[in-house]
Amino acid sequence: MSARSQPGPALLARERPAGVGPGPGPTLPASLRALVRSSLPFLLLLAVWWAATTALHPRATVLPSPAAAARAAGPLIAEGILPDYATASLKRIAFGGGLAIALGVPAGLLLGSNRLLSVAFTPFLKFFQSLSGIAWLPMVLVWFGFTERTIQVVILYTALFPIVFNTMTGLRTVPPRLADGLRALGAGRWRLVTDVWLPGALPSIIVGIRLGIAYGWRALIAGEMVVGAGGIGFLLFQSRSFQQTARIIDGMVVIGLLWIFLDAGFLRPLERYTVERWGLVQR
Amino acid sequence: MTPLLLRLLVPAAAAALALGASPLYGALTAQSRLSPALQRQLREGLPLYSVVVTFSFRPEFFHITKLQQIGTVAGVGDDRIRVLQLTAAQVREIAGFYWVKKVEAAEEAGPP
Amino acid sequence: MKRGDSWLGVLPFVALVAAWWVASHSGRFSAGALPRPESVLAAARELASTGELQADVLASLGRLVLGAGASVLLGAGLGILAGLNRFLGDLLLPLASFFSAVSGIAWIPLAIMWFGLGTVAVTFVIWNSIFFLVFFNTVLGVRSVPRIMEQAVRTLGGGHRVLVLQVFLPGALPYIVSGIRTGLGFGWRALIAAELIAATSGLGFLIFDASHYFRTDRILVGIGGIGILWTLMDGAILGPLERRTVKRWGTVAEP
Repeated sequence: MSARSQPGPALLARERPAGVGPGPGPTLPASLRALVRSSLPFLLLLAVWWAATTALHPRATVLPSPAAAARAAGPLIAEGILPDYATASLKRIAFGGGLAIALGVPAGLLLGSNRLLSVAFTPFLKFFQSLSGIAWLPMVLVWFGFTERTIQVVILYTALFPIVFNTMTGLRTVPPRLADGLRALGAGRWRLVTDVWLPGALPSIIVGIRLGIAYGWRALIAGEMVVGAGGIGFLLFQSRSFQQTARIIDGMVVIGLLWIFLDAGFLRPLERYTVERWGLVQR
Repeated sequence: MTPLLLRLLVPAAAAALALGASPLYGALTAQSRLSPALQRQLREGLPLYSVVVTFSFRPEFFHITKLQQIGTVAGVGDDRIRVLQLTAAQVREIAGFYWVKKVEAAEEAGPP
Repeated sequence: MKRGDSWLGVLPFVALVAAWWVASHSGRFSAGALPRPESVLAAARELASTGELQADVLASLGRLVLGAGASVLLGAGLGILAGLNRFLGDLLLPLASFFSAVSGIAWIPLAIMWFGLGTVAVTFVIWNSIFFLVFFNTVLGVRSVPRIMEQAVRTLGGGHRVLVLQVFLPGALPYIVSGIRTGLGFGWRALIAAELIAATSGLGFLIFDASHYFRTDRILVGIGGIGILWTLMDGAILGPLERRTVKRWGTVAEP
C-alpha cells in the first residue's frame, strides 16, 4: 500500500465526483462583469437556438422558438401549474432524501463499525445500489399503485443505498492508529466517535449523500412521469401527450435550475464544510 | 456544526419563501374571490356547498384534477368548473388558489 | 482481505432469499404481491425458452453500448479539445454543467417527441446522461495537468500529437475514467427509466409491461437480470479499467 503525501487528482476526483453535479460550484459572480461573462455561454446558446428556428423553420411541435418557449412559461405560472408541480417535486426529494440520510447514516455507521459486517454487506449493498429505485418502480406500482407512496418509496430506496454504502466504507477507511492514539491518551468511547470516527468518515458520508440525492432526484423525475401524481416530471410527460413542446422545454429548464439549486444550495456547502473543517483525509 | 446548519438554512428558507409566496398571497386574498351570495351561504353554515369556479383562462387537466381531489367535479366549461359536495373549509381552500378568478354559489352561476 | 471474506459476502444474499422463501410460502402474501422464488425461476425459464429474455437483454445492452460508447468517445474527444483551448473551455463548461443538471432522464419526453418510441429515443437519453459528464470531467482533467509538463515536452521539441498523447491524455485520464464511471452509473439508470417509458423491448420494458398484468414473477426476473448485468459490467469492465489506468499513471493511494 503506497501512500502519498499529496493526494493525486484521482483521489480528488473521487472525493469530489465533479460529475455528480455542475462543476466546481456555480459560485455567485462577484461583479457585474463576471455576471456578463458567466451568462455569455447561455446567451450564445439562445442565439444558436433562435438562429436554428428562424433558418430551418421546424414545426413548433418539434422545436419551438425561444420566444414560443418563453411565451409558454406565462400560463404555466399564471395558471398555478408550475409552482404547484415544482413544490411537489421539491417536497418529495426533501422528504425522501432527508429520510434516507436519517436512516442511512446510522445504518452505515453500524455496519462499518464491525469488520465482518462490512465485508459481508459490501457485495449486497453494491448489488442493490446498482438496481436503483427506478428498476423497482414496476414492483412498487403493483404494491402501492399510482400513488404518492410509490414515489416516496422509490426515492427512499434509491437514495438509501449509496448513503449506507459510502458511510460504511468511510468508517472502515479511518486509520485505526488515529483511534489508538487518542485511546492511549485516555479518550472514552463517545469522544472517539466524535473526534475520530465521525470526522474521518465524514468526507465519504458526504459523497454518499451527494450520490444518493443525485440518484434520488433522477428517480423522482422518472417516477413522476410514470405515476402521474403531479410534479415536474409529470409536467414533462403530460406536455408531451398534448404535443406542447414549448412546455416540455420550459419544464426541462426548470428541472436543471432546481437541481442546480439543490446542489449549490445544500450539497456543495455540505461538502465544502467538511473539507474545510477537517481537510482532505489521508487514506 | 452550527455554522453549517445556518448555512443550509438559508437556501431552505429561500425556497420556502419563493414557493410559499403565491399560496400565501392566495390565502390572504381568498375572501375577495368569494361571491357575496356564496359568502352569505357560508355564514348560514350549510352542511355541503356546490360552487362554480371561474378562471381567466380555459381550465386544464391540472385544474380539473386539483378540484377533483377536493370535491366532486360535475361539469367543465370554457372558463369554469362546477364542483359539488364541498365543506366550508374546502370552499375556502379553493378560494385560496391564486389562479382562481372567482367562486360563486352554484345556484347563481349559469351552466355548467 | 482475509481468507473466507468472499464467502461472507454471500451470507446477506442467502439470508434475503431465505426470508423471501419463508414469507412467500407463509400464505400471508398473494402470489401477485410476493411471488415465490420457484415461480420467478419458472418465469425466467419460460422467458428464456421463447427467446424473449435474451432479446430484451441484448436490446438493453446494445443501447447502453451504443449510447455510452458514443458519449464517451465524443465527450473525451471534445473535452480534450476544449480543455486545451482556454476560451472554448470557458465557453462550454457552464453549458455542460447546466445540461448535466438537466439530467438525461428529463430528456425522455422530448426524445419520444422527436424519435418516437424505441431504440433511438432510449439511446439518445443514455447519450445525454453520459456525454456532458465525461466532457466536463475531461476538460477539468486536461486543465489539471501541470503546465510544467506541457512546457517540458515543448522545450524538448514535442509537437501537438505528442503533447496530447503523452502529456494531456495520461494526465487527464484519472478524471476521464472517474467521469466515465460516474456517467455510466447515471447512464444505466437512464436506460432503465427510458425503457420503462419509451421502449417496446429491453429489460425496462419487460418489467414495466409485466406490471400491467401483475406478473410479479416476471418483474423479478427482469430486476434480477438488471442487477446481474450491472454487477458483471462493473466488475468485469469498469472496476478493472479504473484500477488499471489509475495504477498505471498512478496518483492514487489504494485504501
